[in-house]
This record gives sequence, C-alpha cells and structure tokens, in this order.
Amino acid sequence: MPSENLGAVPPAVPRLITPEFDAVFESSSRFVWRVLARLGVARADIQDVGQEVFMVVHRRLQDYDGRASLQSWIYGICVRIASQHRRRHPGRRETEAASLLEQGVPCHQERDLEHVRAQRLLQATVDAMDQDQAAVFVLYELEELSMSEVSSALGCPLQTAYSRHYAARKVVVLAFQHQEQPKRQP
Amino acid sequence: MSQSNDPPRLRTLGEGLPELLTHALGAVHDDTPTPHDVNQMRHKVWLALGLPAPVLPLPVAAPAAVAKVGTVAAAASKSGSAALAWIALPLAISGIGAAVFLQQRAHVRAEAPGSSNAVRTEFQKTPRPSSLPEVANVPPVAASVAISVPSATRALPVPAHPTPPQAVPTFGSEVSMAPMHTESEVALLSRAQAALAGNPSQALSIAGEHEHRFPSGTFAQEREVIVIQALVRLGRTLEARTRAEHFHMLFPGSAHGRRVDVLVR
Repeated sequence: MPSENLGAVPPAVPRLITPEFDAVFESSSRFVWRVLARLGVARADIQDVGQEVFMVVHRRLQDYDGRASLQSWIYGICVRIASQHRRRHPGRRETEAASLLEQGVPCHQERDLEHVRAQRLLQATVDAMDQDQAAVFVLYELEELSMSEVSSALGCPLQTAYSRHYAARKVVVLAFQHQEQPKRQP
Repeated sequence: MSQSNDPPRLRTLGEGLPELLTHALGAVHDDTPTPHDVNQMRHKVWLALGLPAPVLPLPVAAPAAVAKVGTVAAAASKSGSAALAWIALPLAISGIGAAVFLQQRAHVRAEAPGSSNAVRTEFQKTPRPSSLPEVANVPPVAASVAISVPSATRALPVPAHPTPPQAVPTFGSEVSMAPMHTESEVALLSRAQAALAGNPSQALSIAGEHEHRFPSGTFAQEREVIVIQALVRLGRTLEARTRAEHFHMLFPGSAHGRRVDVLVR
C-alpha cells in the first residue's frame, strides 16, 4: 500500500554539491561567462546557458579523469552547450549586436571609443566565423590555452586545431586590415 | 599556457598587426562578469540542482543596513546593557536580511523577459500552508498500473481517480505562471524543482511536460530525480522505488545515484 508513507517526512536529501563542485564553480564561473560571451551567446542568455554548463559539469565531474586540465575540460562543455544554444536561437546574438550599435557608445574619449570599436569588431568577426574555427581562436588567442589543451577541449586532433587556428587568425587579421584600409587612403 | 610548438599568439606579434586589432586583443580581459552576474548564475545552478540558495556576499546596497547593525549594537554596548545588545543585534541582522531579500527580489524582477522565470521563485519562500499534509489530498495509487510498466521514458503515472483541483499554495502559484513555449530545458526543470516544495503534483506535471518537449533532452537524469522526489513527497513510495530502480538501470554510475537511493530508502 502506498499509504504506508502517508504523513511521513521525506528522508533528508544528502548534500548534492560536493566541496569540489563548489570550488569548481568558484574558480571557473567567470571564465565560463566570458567564453560563452565570446562564443556568441547573447548577454541576456549567458546566465541560462551558464546554468546548463554547470549542470553538466556537476553531473560529469566524477568522470573527469584529469587527462586534460580541468579548465580545458570545462571549455569543451562550454563549446558544446554554446553551439547547441546557437542552433536553437539563430540570429539572437546578431539582434543584440545590432541593438548595441544603435544605442551608441557612452564614452567621451576617443581612445575609449576606439577600444569599444575594436572589441566589437573582434566579436563580430568571431561571431561570423565558422564555429569550429571560432572555438579554436577563442580558446587559444583570447583564453590563452595551449594548443594541446585546445585540441583536447574540442576533441579534435592537434593538427586539426592548428589548421583551424591558422584559418581563424587569417580571417581576423583580414577583417581588421580591411577596417583600417579606408583610414590609410589619402 | 603556451607550449614550444605552439604558434605565437597574435598579441605577441606587436608591430605587424593592425592597430585596431592590438586594441581589441589588449582589452579582451576587460570584459568580465560582475559579482551580481556570477551570483545570479550560482542561484540558477543551485536551484536547478534542488539545493537551498547559497549564502551570498552582502550586496552593495546593504552597507546602510550594516551600518545600522553597528550603530544599534554600539549604542547597546555604550549603554552598558548587554541584554539590549542581544536583543538589538538579531533585529538589526534581520533588517539586513530584509534589505538583501528586497534587493535580490528587485534584481530578479528586473530580469529580461526572455530569461528563465524559474529564478523568480527562488526568493519567494512563502510559508507552506500549516495544515499541509499534501499527501492527504492524494488519491490512492493504482499500484498495479504504476509498477507493472516501469519505464523512465513513459508518460508519468496518472492517479486512478481524477484529483479535484487543489488549492495551490502561494509558492506554487508563482511557479505555475503560464509557461512559455520558448522556455529552455533547464528553465522548465528549474520550475519543476521550485514547485517540489509546495506542490509536488505540479512538479510531476512540469516534469511530464519536460519529458514531452525534450524526449531526448540533456537533463533527463535531473528530471527523473525530480519525479522520484515528487513521488516520495506525495507518498507514492512504491512508484518512487520502481522509478529509482529504473533510474539506476538507465543511468548506472550517475552522480545522482546516491541521492536517488536516499530518497527512496
């Protein structure tokens, strides 16, 4: 009879989050946030997507075998979740970027303005890039992981990571050169 | 960290780079989340995992309240009345609690409409009805039906007798806001998790919705834990145990395994 438990207090649930998970969250929440932003997740969605990342981290933490650095292991999860998110919400980031541009820049100094412009161009270039190349570029150039960490985070051979990096870098440099060309012309 | 075979990073190339790109690479680490961003994310994670909200560092608005604690406590100690200090301190601390609560609530309310509405519930801990044996409202379970077809992927068990509409506790009513179809998988689960405490039937129903909308979702394990917990809270122990056995079959070695065992013990 199911009534055997009527009125009984449900058993105490054990503490789910181990100190290790707490520590992982503390040490990695900021870079998770940053990487998600760089991988094209709209600002308004970063907390929700970050939540997904940490739920996966929590579940898989016991499977983490230490072969890759914890950081690159978490990066790998970020890349996959961000990719899923972008597939679910195509165009969301572009809408956000457009609205940011329309808002104008609350800077009074030209130098600040230049920085903001530079960051936006970099973000726009990464957003427009092939996703695999973008992931390598973000992890290697911006987050400064080693190439072996990048390849392990993305689950691809080292040579593939090198060639994606080469291609991504070319795209970025060209985009910035193109941007500066009109200024150099007399 | 860089290794010897790695190509030089763009920011180390210096001269040959477009100036704008040098600016961009120099400023990449300026873009970091605020403590508020991190705390919000922490709340969402903890909520989705079914844990009490973690203790947060005091927000910026709290110093006024902190100052008040100091003033009140100092006044009490100056007057030489230890008893007054013991009374005043908790009162002042509860003032901080209220300030923090209101501020967090305001932050949560101010969230973008597209974001999860699950977090909206996390600070709204209205007391459960005092006469709550929610299990008392639950009709007897047709155990044979529920147990004979144990499957973690089948539809959630339906009570043998239709349940009359229950008076939904305040906590649950906030939770039961019209769900958006654009609601993400995690947001849906967070809503189910939030409903567990006040209205396990509703938690079951939301978990069913999750199963329907995300049949091969990423968080099937978390959904099953919520279902098992809801069944236990409803007194449907046998169903919970069956579901728990199935959970172990489907997800051997799951991080949630131990929790499931304790729930149905």
